[in-house]
Amino acid sequence: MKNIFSIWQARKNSNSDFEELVAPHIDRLYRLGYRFSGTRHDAEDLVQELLVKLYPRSKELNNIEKLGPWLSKSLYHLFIDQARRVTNSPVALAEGIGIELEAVACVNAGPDEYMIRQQQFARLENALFTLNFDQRTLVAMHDMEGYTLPELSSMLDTPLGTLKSRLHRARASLREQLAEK
Amino acid sequence: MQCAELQQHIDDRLDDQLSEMECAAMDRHLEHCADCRGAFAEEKAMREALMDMPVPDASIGFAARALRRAAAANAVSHHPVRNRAFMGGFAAALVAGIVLWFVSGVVGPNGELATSQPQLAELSISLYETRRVKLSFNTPENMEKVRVSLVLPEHVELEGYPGRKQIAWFTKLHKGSNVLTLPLSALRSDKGIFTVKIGTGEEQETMQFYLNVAKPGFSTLEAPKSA
Ligand SMILES: [Zn+2]
Repeated sequence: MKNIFSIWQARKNSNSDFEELVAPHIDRLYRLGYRFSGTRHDAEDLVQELLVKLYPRSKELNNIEKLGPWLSKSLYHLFIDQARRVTNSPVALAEGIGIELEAVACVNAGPDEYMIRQQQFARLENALFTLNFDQRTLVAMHDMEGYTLPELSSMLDTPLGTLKSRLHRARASLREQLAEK
Repeated sequence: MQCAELQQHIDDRLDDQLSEMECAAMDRHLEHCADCRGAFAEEKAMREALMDMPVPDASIGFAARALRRAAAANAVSHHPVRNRAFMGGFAAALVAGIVLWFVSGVVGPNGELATSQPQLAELSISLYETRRVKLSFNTPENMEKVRVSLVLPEHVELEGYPGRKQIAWFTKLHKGSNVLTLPLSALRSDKGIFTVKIGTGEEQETMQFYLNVAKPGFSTLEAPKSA
């Protein structure tokens, strides 16, 4: 019973600092979540889950020097956990099938240039989802969301050289995919 | 500088990883080599396209709602949503707080959270729409093998498991919050009890709540009036 009691105590002490600390980062987290998962729904889901988990830890968050990268890193790890859960839980398995391309599905009739651009995005998006998990998340963070290599190196605990060669391979594979069509 | 060498380093150039001297050498080569200029332009265009890939806006009010839910989800642990009749010593330590919430879709103004109530919590889902119901378990320590089982009411199905009313599997629980996502869809409008059991064989915790499927047409959202 001691355990529950201590959890409840910890909860009681958590304060509304949380909102102040985290609110400025939500938009960026959502974008990153979208890059990872490919749908608005999953992105919101991912961010929501992160906030639920972090809420009791607002004191700890208060002491983190660079909260932005720290939160991005946590989102990344949560995404990895979720992907792992997909293989462990029958529920997640049922759910994990099929990727919605909602971003590109809503193409309105418009100027040719716009249409061509949308088609490019659609092809690129399809190509992105042929990359393996590590490659795709790395391209998402570096090439799409603009995290720098040194930032990623410390966020992901991976040597710069390793990241570079992973990115290199990922882009080569993207180019190949795009050339095929 | 040879073509092969240059093309090896296009990435580095675009990532600002080359020295000034290396950049200058690259530029000299690019000036007179159309092949490499093409390769460079292609890579640059792809990078720009990646940067420009659109991200749809989050649903309206998402940030505020997400923060409110995070607070509410954690507040619930004072009064866990569960049937106290089933609480045992070990089970009580296993699950210190249970939270339910829905994600996106059509949502109520206050975050549609099944919070503590004197009776069983009630979750409403609509016909012809999959709702992802989330259950969060807080555990004080890692648990290697925990059995999760679901008993669904007659009128509701778990997506991907048509016709199955009882579903069970083993899973790991990590210390802290564990979130289980259940994509539920309603077969008809009705109300029934949904049971979730979680335990290690000997002892288990049971949570129950009502799943209420409203008749279509009882939506709180009004359709725009026709002219
Ligand atoms: Zn050349």
